[in-house]
Amino acid sequence: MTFLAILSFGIVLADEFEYSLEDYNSTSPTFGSNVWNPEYSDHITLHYFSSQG
Amino acid sequence: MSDFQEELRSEGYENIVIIAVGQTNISAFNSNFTANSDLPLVMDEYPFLPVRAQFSPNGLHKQVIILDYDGTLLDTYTLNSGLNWSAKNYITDVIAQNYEQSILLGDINDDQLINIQDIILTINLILANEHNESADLNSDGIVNILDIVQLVNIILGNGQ
Repeated sequence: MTFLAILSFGIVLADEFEYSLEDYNSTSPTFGSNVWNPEYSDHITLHYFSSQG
Repeated sequence: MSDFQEELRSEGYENIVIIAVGQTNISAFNSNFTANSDLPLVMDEYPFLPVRAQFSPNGLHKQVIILDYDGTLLDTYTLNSGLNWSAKNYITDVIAQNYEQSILLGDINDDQLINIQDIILTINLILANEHNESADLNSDGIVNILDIVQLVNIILGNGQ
């Protein structure tokens, strides 16, 4: 089920990048809301990736 | 990163946001980031990492991906040497080339208010036979009495 959900996520959003995930930073003004959609849908967005602690 | 976002906004790029994309399995980064920043943090779900997969082949460690309003890729920059002067300049240039200034129709003097001053300025434009995008409320390519009427209606609360 999880795999299908992830697969659908990738297919639907293949043409343009987009995600809607909860903001986990409690000191962020959008804490608890989903970003970048809908909170920042009218913004130029910079996505900073980290894969190491 | 928070400071850089503030710098960008102070330069007039209000609709800019930097979002950190961590991972559910790297709690050290996630907790360090939230302790030192007021920027949004989302967590990519380990082990499939669907967000990273979507951005592939981008989305590498320390990489900043810059996207336009509609989610199209503008550019990427890898912060191998941290967020230094060169990195800030590069990213700011990308934003400057793609940032859309919002126009408030009727706000001729760009003070974010629509009032009698804008009516006066619009009359002056008409008398000088000049065009201004903010003053052309009905978007017919001409600034004339029809735009004044529409402007008055906005001020009186009868229009948009």
